[in-house]
Amino acid sequence: MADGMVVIKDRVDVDPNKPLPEFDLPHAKAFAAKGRRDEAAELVAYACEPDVPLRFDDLESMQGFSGSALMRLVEWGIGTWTPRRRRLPVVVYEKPAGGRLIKDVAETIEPLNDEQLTRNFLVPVMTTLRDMSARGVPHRAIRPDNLYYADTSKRMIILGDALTCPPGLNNPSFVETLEQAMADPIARGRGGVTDDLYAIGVCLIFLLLGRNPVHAQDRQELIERKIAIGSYSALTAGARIQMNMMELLRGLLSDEVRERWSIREVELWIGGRRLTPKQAKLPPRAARPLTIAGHDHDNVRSAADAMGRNWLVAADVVRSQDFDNWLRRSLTDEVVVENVNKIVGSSAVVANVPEADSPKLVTRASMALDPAAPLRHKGFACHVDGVGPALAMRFDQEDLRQKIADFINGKFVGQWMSLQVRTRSDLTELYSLFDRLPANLNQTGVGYGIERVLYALNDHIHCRSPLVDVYFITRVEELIPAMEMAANRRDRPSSPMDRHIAAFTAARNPDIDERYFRALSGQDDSGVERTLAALNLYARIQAHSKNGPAPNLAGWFSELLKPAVNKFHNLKQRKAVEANVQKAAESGQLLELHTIYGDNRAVQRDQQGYARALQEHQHCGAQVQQLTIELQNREHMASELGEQVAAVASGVTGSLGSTAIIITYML
Amino acid sequence: MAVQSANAAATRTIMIAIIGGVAVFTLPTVMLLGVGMLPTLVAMLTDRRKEKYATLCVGCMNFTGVLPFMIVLWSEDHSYEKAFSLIADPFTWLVMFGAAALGWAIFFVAPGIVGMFIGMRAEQRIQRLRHRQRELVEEWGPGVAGGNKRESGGEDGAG
Repeated sequence: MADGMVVIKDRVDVDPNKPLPEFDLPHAKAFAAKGRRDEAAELVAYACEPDVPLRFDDLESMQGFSGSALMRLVEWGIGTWTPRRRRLPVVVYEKPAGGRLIKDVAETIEPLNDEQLTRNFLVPVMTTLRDMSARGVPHRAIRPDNLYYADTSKRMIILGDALTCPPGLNNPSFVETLEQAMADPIARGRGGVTDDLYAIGVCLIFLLLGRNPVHAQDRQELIERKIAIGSYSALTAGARIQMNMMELLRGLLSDEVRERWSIREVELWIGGRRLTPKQAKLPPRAARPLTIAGHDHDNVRSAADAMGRNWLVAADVVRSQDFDNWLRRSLTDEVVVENVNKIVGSSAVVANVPEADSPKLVTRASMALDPAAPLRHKGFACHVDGVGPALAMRFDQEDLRQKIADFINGKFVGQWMSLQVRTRSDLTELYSLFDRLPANLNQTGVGYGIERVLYALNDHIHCRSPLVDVYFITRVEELIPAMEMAANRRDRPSSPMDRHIAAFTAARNPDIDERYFRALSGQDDSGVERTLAALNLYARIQAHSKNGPAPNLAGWFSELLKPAVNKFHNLKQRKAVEANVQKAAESGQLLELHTIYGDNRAVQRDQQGYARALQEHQHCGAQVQQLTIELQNREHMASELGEQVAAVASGVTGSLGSTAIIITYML
Repeated sequence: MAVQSANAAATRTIMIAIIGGVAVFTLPTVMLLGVGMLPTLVAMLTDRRKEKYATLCVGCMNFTGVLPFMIVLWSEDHSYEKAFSLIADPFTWLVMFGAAALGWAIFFVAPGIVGMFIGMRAEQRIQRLRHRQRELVEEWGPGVAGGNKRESGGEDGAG
């Protein structure tokens, strides 16, 4: 193996010095790679951007997938990317022999006829989408610039990577359904096979015409056109489409999800079934338009979209009598009126909504007008399952963090779900999650706040702490080994715990009790209590994860906790504790270390002993002082006492002498 | 109060009457005592302290010096002649006044000895106390001496 190779799971060698720019993706650079078992096979490895969440679950599901119309996933894993001196996720595919169809959506190609298109693209792609659907994985990255020629003769067209970024992230708006296009690209959500089929329709137009008629159109302009005249008309932009393809395209590009063709219907079409092309079903128009921010809107979808974009002025529109009149008299859509009554309330209720709640009012109103559209709050348009990836990708943007926090605190998800005709089980789980999030979001302590939300909404993203970011850890089990390496770094920060690590641990390991996290926000000035709490948490993680010894981390803690040892007043005990700490640090067992520092009884005994010693020392000092005074006044005392002693001595001597004299004379 | 004063006065009168009566019948002894106990009388007059330690000190020794001659007087001839002959003997004066001088000597020397004893005892005690304080500092660090205050988790090293 050559030097500098990045090894993925001992199966693939990636050469960071051999970039393959023609395969680059917006969020992942491509590099040449070789399989260790089959060195002849040419592979392409994508080194992913660390802040862009991978589709981890789908990567697992797609292992071993052998669809003929999809770049074959060979391996994936976290590798040490030496040029960037960090670990990165790397996804390895078989390299399509014919290269990329186009690098940019503005490029043109030789148009394909319907027979080529069906045989070399549509048939294999439908089979692949069916197989992927069976695995529960939508592609969600089908776009003209993500198509490849599978063979050197450039006949077979296959789909490119879909797993290195969240679904739909890099898709231009024209490839996305209206519901997805109206969402911010970072918050489009998972979507489904119907979204893939719509994108296939867009790709078919491109392949048929050899160009993309709408690539230069502004996103908002295209959305408005799709709403106004339907996707088919908007995307073909007057280009001539063969009659036999029109039925297929109208079916795939239907803006009504229930009417959009399924894989089965496409397969029937391939099999020769021909029907009259369906006309686009446009949203019902109101008798008169509703003016929002100077623009007239004559249908609910357009009005809802405009409200979301012009949220600062939309509240006044919702409050106005004109909106109520438009809704009830001009639109005459009972379902929409019922939705507005349910979610927004009557005009009297709306009039009393405080000014501070205007953004929420706009969110609820736009949701009620167009329940299938993304949720829109303060200009942030998202699908519920797109909030997590959006937060992950833009976590460093304060304004977006705040918008997402407001969105979560607004508790819109429950209301939005009550408007949905069909409920998905995964959305029910998300609702339950979103319902719990405000409790964690609104706590300011370490382990809570927006960081906790980040990890709660993204099951697989790596811990973003500056301490361990370069190690790209996605599981709590990897935290202690990463911290062990971080502890050995010269540029390590002052504390081994931060908000990200705590939030990551809390979100990923529900077995660890919340009280361990609350202790991390202790208010002691010295910081010893917080450091002890951090040690306690790491000790639990080490025990739970059955990690090996971590002597560097333990040594770091023992350095930080020197003040805790100095707390022991008794010098002998302090030395004994220091010796025990050193022993525990060398062993690398954090629990052992914490047991020493956390022995509150020993601390209490020491404090009581110290108090007694202090008292005794003072007492001795007082006695010494008193005796010194006595010494200074010795003459006076001696005089006083000496006279008494003299009197007694004389009395005793005299008595003895007299007795002796009397006895002498008597004998 | 009045009753108590009256009783004391009566007791004193009775005692003086008894002593006076006895003195009348033992005049040679009284004379010998009068002469021999002169140092005690002087000590009593010069002793300004209420407790009369000097008087007691000199008196005890003085009486011991007078006692042999009183016994001689009583045992040989309790007469004026014998009393005068004893008083006339310089040895008698030497013994009686020498004993009184010894009383004075005790009175003057005792405070010095007592002072020395007090000093020694205090110094020994101070040494013991200081030793104990050093032990406490060695065991608990300089903070225990109060000079280096620390509430908890002090940063003073092992001292």
